[in-house]
Amino acid sequence: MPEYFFGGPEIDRNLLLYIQKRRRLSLIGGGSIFAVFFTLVLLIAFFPHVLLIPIGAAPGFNLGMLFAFLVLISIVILTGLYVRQTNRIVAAETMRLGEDK
Amino acid sequence: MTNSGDPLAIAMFVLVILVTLAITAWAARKTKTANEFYAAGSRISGAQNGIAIAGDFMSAATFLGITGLIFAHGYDIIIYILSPVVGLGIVLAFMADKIRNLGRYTFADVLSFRLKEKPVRITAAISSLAISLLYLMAQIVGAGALIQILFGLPYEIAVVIVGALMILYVSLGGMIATTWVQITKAAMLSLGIALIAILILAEAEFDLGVLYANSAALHANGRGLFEPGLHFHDPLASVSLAIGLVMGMAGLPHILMRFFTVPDAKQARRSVFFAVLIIGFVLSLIFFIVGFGAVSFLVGNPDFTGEGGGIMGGTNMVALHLSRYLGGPVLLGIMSAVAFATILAVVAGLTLASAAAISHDLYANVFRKDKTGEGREVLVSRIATIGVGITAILLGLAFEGQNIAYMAALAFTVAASANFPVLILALYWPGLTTRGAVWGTIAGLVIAIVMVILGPAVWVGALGNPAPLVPFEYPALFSIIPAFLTIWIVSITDPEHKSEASKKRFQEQLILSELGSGGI
Repeated sequence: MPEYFFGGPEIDRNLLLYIQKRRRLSLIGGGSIFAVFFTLVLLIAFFPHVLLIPIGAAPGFNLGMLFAFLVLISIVILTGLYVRQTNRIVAAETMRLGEDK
Repeated sequence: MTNSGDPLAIAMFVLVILVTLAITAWAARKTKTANEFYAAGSRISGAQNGIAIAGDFMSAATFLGITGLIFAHGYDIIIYILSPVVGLGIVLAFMADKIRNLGRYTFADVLSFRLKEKPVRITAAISSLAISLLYLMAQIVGAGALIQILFGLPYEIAVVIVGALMILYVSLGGMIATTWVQITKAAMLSLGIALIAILILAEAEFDLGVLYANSAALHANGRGLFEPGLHFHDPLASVSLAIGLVMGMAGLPHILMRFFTVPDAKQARRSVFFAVLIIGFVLSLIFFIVGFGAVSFLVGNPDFTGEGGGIMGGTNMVALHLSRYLGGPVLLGIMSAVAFATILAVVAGLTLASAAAISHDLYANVFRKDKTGEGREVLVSRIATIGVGITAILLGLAFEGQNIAYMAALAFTVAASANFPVLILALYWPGLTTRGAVWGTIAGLVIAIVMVILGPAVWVGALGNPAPLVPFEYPALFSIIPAFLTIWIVSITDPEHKSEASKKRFQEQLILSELGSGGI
């Protein structure tokens, strides 16, 4: 474990802020992935009629299929954004905590 | 339909075996230490590990089973498609990098960082073994039946071949061989599914409207194929399945073990992204194109339907019938080989997770604590692999003809109930105590198993009773909640709950989980 994280109250406060930032990001990232998915699950379970609304003439072109596609794409995008954002924060904090040392 | 006697299919089958054995021989030369055996020396890159995670997850049930389910039930199957991807998203946001920073080879390493090692390792090893063996059994039974159909081999010989190959891969090549077999399989599966999707679209003039219109015209449920309601008749069943699959994915020992194969937390995060990308790509092709393509080309086609109008060999054969329709014996041979490779890769991962639970958690850290050398631990791992493989073969032979769906359901339900609650609380709740973790794992394990046994698949399907005592095939929702409650109640009534030593240990874990041993 890097020694400087136990170096004094100032450093500890920085570390705490960093951990809080990471937690906030986890909650936003994980929470939005789960929320997007669970919205579709709840629609399928309790409000299926919403998903039957047509968005085109051909069979299969309805709100349900569109939602399914959008949810899948959203999860992949949210995952990518989370990884990018986390790596950015980790890199920035590494530099800052290193300078504090 | 069988492929027996088809020289192309047999040649592809032999080619897959030869390629995977060559990978194993190469990996065996690189596998000397415990770290190499369990974690591929932690030298796998994020992208490689992501592909391997996809290979580890996408079993024959994914390729053959989900295509068959879409063919029969249409839209509702989207929950099976999205849940694993969401499960990985949850793993990414809350667990992956922390597990990598805290553990070495198994998720029990993470639990035992701040809890008493012996009790938590024993319960974690038992639940890991239960999950892995159940899943392994489901895969082996499915593999035996599939190879029997594909190549005309007797079921017993098919089971022994798969069992012997998985013992060879894991005992000789450890995680390095397992990883590269999974990467090879994931690549073959992704390309194979993409090829099938392109051929389907070509037949439908590259117009999804034409494809869907044909499917709706031929399917017994017409437009209902694209609407909710054919698979789930009870709203809670779909919610319970979704929760079980998401949290089960985050509790599968062979998936969690993969995060120790990368060098650092950053690569752990990257690996989840690649896994989501590949699994999302393959499953979306299966859902939006392949499943409905199967309806469009196979329903009412006398080449692939029996006397009653049902599909020959059952709906699990839909993907392979479709391959034959689209590409004749050549594509059928290729996709049969892909199905075979799919089985081999998944069983290898499961065998390694089971062996690690025995050799690393139980033998090296409980029974012979601090008294065993690294060489001996690897030797015990290889012996454990052989033991697990023989057990899986025997179970596969004993459960021939059984409905494998409930075994896979049980594995996910147990993982979601026994592993996930204790792991997530170990990472985030300072109040968790050893006693809470142990009793929570036991409660999750027992409740999940009892509820699945009393449910429709076992109580009615396997035991022949007229009605289930638990109405849900996937009762995860009702076993996860008691598991969390047990952990909470036992922990808050435990004197360890508010001890200063416990708080200090949690703080140390928090810092290490965020920063790793080498800094951020």
